[in-house]
Amino acid sequence: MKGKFLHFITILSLLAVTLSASAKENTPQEQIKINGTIKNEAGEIVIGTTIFIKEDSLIGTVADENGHYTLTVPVGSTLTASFLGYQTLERRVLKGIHRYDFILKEESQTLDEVIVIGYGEVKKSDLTGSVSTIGSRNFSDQPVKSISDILQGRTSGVEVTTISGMPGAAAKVRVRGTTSINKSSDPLYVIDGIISSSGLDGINPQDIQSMEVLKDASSTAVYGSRGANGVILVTTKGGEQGRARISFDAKVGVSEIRKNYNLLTPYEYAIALNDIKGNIVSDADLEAYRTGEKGIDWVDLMTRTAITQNYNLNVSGGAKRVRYLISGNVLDQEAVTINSKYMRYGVRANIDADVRRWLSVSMKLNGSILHQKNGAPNWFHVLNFSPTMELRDPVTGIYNNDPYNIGTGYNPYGVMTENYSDSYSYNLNANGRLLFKIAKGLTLSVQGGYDYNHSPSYAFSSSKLAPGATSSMSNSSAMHRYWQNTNNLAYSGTFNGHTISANAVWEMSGVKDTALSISGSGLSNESVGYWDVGNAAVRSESNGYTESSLLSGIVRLNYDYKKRYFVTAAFRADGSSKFQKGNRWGFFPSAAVAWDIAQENFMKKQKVVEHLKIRASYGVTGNEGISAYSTLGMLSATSYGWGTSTGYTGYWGNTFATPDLTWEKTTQYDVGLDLTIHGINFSFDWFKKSTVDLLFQKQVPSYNGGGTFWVNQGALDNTGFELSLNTFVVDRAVKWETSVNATYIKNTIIDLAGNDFVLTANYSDLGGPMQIMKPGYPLGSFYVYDWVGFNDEGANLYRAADGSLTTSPTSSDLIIKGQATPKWTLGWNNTISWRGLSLNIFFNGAFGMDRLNMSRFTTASMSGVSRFITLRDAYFYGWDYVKDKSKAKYPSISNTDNKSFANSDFWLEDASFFKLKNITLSYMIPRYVTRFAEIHLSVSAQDVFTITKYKGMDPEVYSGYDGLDYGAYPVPRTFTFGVKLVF
Amino acid sequence: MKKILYILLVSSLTFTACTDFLEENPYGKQSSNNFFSQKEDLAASLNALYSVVATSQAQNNYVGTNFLAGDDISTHPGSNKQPLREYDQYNITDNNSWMLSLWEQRYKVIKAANFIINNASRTPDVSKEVIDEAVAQAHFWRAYSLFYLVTTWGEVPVMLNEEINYNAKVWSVEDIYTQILSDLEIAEAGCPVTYSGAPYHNGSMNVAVSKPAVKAAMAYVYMCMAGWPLNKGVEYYTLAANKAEEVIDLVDSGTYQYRLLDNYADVYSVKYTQSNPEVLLGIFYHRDRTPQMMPLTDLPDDIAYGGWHDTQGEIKYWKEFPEGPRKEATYLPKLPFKDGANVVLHDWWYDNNGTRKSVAPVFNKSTESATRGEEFDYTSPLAPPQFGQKTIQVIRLSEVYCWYAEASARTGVVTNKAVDVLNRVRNRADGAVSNRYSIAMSAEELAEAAYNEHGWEIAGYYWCGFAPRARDMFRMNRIKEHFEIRKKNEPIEVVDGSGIFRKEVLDVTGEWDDSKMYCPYPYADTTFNPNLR
Repeated sequence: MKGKFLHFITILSLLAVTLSASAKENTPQEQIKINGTIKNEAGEIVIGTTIFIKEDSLIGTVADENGHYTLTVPVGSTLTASFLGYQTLERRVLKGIHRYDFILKEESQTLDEVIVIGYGEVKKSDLTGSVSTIGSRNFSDQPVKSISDILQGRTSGVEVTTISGMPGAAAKVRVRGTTSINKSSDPLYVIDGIISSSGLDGINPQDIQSMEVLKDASSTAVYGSRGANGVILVTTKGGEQGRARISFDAKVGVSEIRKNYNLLTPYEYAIALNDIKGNIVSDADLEAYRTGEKGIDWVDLMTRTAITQNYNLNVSGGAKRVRYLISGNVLDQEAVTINSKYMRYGVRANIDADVRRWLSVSMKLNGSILHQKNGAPNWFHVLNFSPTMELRDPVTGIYNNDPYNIGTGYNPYGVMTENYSDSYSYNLNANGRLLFKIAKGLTLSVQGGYDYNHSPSYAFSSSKLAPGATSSMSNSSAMHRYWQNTNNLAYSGTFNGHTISANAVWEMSGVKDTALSISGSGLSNESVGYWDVGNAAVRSESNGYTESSLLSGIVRLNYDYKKRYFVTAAFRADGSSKFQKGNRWGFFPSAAVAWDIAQENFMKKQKVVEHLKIRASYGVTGNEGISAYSTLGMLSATSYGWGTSTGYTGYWGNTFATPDLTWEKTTQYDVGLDLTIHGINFSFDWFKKSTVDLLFQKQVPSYNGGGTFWVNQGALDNTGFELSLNTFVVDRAVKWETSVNATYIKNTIIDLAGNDFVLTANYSDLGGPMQIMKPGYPLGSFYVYDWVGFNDEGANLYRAADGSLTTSPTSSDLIIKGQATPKWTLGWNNTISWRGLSLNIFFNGAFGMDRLNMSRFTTASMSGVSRFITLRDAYFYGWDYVKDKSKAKYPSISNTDNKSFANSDFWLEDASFFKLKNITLSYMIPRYVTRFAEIHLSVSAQDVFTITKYKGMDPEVYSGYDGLDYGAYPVPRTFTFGVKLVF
Repeated sequence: MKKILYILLVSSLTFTACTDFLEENPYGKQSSNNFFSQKEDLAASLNALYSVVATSQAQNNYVGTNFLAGDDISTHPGSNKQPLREYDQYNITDNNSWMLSLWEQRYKVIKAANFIINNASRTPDVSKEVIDEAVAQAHFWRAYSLFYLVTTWGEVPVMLNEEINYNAKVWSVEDIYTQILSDLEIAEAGCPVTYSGAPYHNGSMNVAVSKPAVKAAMAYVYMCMAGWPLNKGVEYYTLAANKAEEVIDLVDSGTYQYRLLDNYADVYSVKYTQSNPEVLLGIFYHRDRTPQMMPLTDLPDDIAYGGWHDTQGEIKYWKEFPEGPRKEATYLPKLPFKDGANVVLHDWWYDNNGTRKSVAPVFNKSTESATRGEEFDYTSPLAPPQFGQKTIQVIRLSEVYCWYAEASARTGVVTNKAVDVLNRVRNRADGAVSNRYSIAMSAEELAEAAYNEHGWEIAGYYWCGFAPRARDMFRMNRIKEHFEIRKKNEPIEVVDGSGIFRKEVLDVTGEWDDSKMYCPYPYADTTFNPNLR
């Protein structure tokens, strides 16, 4: 707590300084009394519009129920009319003019809005491809902590899955489906024109002005070899000319786990143990478990109410030729499990200057420190450890292993209390640009970016964890350096209705990674923790180096005639060092056409259709995502002690060279429609993405030593459509803006390098492979036994391939069922506002997906890893316990013929869900009321409730392969209180 | 404008400057082609081979499950032992979840061995002897793995090159044995009698494969060829006896530095784990560097400190096991149970009023204390560790004595030497000079006595022993006999006259056929290769 107060006080004192500075400015000017009416384009009165002076927002008022206002302002000031959902309008107050009426234009219709596309910008109305935009207003009042929080549910075509509820954990983001099997299907993130190579964790979401998601190939193909998974362009905020704006924002959240398994109490567990395994718990102990004198509630022991604090300070402004933004951010997020937390400290400085008539420069610097203190506990152990055991030996103080259930694995409480670890990430992202205005319409942008990332981590493990456990420590340090140089020659011009814009880009980039690590075990004195490797009896060390580079050239031409007919064509060539000579270069063409029908003369007369545009595009993108040196078949290093504690390093040929490897290619077709009728904006896209020459890890038969090797074989299809809809449902004094987006994706494996199928998610101790890849089926298909019920002795009965029933199925009886990725994803965002009050309700959902609930399997079955059960229903509704056998929900655990498989559809559950992801009520008090600052107060809740049939803790998260919930960390429910001051 | 041109010029220069911009420089990584280019590479390749060998034997699901077919050992009826039960019940399915590792680990060893066999000869600056020594060891481990495969699956693919072959053919059992023998002959010629210095010798024992170990292995391979399924008979028993005799003579003459320990209790002890003079071949572990996962595997799950209960002893075998120090060391003398804070000791047949789920003898060869260097104390409630460092014993001298006695007797002769070495084994087991075996015995009697003595010597020890009980039964084609005994499952009076009867808790059902002698191919590989279907 002490640390948190320090953050708070530092930020407050910073504020005090800025406040006292801002109080000084005061110059006498001629005052004028003005008035006016505010209406929208439909001629309706807009009540509650804020009218204020841009230069001094202390002077302002709110339009009354007639849409009327009066105000006394200095002559020459800028009168600003602002209302949520509308574009903010400005007018200059002139001497002698007293009436200023405003007609507000709805913001969502703003087709003049400029959208960032790769290597350029276009007006939204000129778009030929499929690009979604998320502006800061879509999330500004919500307690988003990461970029994936922003992306989730807020735009069509983007599927975000929160894989873990652990603070700082990465989410899975897919743009139009999974396009690669063994290589990353993560989208490419580009921050202000520089490719993000070290992750987005260091970016403060509050610094983001907008995000554009490039989805179709004509948009992504300019990113060539890295564009196949979609591209997300992040634009950070900049300063604006005018009075400096200071904004301070503090949020405090309280989180708890939402749902738990119903597990056996210590007393019940003891009874079950005696019942099933023989009398192993004595009467005395049994009594102690009954009275609660003994026994452990593991979930209670391992969880807590967690506090999250998030502070942002943002100062921006600018003079005529220079604009600046400086921001700072502190995030301190506790995990809902004990002793873990995640912290982020960030600063940003963005400076833009027009230094000459022909030259503008900009510099964007972002620095951040991320700190993960202790990792997540092993949830599988938390759920399965016996409640009837002693936490530690009373004499030695050593933590006990689980005597009845978990065979291999340390006491989870011991792990989280005796061990500790710290992982840091120090990031510096520098991004500089020179923009030369060579001639009218002709510019050259020379941009350089450098990402520096240093990630040291430290861990200590105690010998107190278990009898015979060895203490150990490790320090490791990974250094990541990425540089990029992009030179973009751009031209645009209009002649007689013909508009041409063209780009020629030359780009180079390189990545260098080095790593260093030392570890030791058998510490002679554990008090030194991880800070004295010399104290360790046995030491190991390792280091490593990888480097790769990419060379690229791009040309693109955009043409339109009278803003009606649009054509875009682009071509990119990429050379990658990861492939060997002859296979290095990949070529990625693309093209798109669009017809803006609403601009045709014949459409001008009607009033129904306000906007109508059809689009079509085609393009090729690639994937080069293998790691450096993958094709060379280098030797594998091992270490053996020959019976001693000394490590002897050895090398052997465990991998195979693959010199013929080259790019994975994805072609994509897209047809889209944008339509506005009666104020309802509607957008539709159909797409088909076909990936061929998959970078595929073909399995090596076990008799060849097992493992995998890289081939360019295999094909994968993703087809689907996206819908988005946006409108003002109520547009009066109370405004209700709603937007819905929905995405349907069908993923199909076409070919698997000639294999009939490939088994994946192999858990040798739980029944074998849990999933299968097979042509005709989607990725993440489960491969399970078809469970039909129990036999007369309570053993599981499965359907065999010939239709008969068996208690002992073989591999030929496995069936393909269910899929891990959702067919439908849905986002529904609502903002209801009235005067200064605003209510945001945001739902997201995913449908048509399954999870293999291995957590339930292990708690309910005696498996390779759990020798007993902990789930209440598995005992009290187990075959052995229930009198009326038709009521049995779980098989007999005493029947030796019973076979339990994790890969059985008994544990395969429909994980479709609909979540109230966020609800925020905020109230804004304008500056002219408080006389010193605009104040936003907000109270909100995240992950409030989930409608699902899933029996586990959270349908969304998973921990193994694709959709296997094997002790996955659930997303907690959080209540957040926020205050934001704008000076 | 001039400046702009200048900028353009500079940036274009940066492009042209780097002609090899896209060349990879994998610093710190070694390629297969450049390896064996320095003499130190030879030692490094052996480190890798033995590392792969040690991993392949470090846990029982990698190495020992099919030995449950033996009449000495069974497993838990419930808990998580489903894959193990399939072996014990002679009904193994192709999806047995522990079988794939069993199969794959053998081939990993072969792959690591092939890397040396096919490449080491190019190593410069070393004598041919040093190269031959390394290559010979690799040949041994390849033969060892092939022997495991041919006695577990029968006809299997034999990989002699590092390659990926989706259409590998299976070799006949005969051809596989030919390959094994040719590998062993190279190993025999190249492996030294003893190594000098770390890491191949730890001061008291050879850590790497020595010539005596190879000869002993050959003796047993000949015995297996003499028996089922090749049934080569007397000719191969003669070869086996000769090879075993070579080892025995060289030990007796002092050329080979091996001897039996005086007390059987020391054979699997922690005390002698790094200095056991009767271990011809061991695999060495250390808790801090390459530990094994043996200590908890054989301990029951319902005793004071809860083991994994992967195995238990079969009752009939226990009953017929001759009393004496050997039996006392082979099984846990008593089982500790918790009674409140106290530990109470009971005989294994204690069933707690019929509530114990599996009542069976417990083997005590893989256990060790949580405190390093200390013997396991079954009376103490202190739980043993998950990770251990006892040396895994692949071939012991007492086994060679048994093999010699059996093989020579199966040729139809009874020699003084055979009787003598078998008495050495039995006298130690009895803890007295009982000299039970004599020259007066028939060849048949002596062979059977030796067969039984060998079983008792290694009973319950399935940890990659070269000749576990199940393999003895396999070569003598006696598994089917035990199958029938298990099917009947008659109650056995644990102590004569006590009136306490116990029987095996796992049922064996169905009809015998010879396909039960082998495991099915793991279906992960049958999906790749039509030749395995």
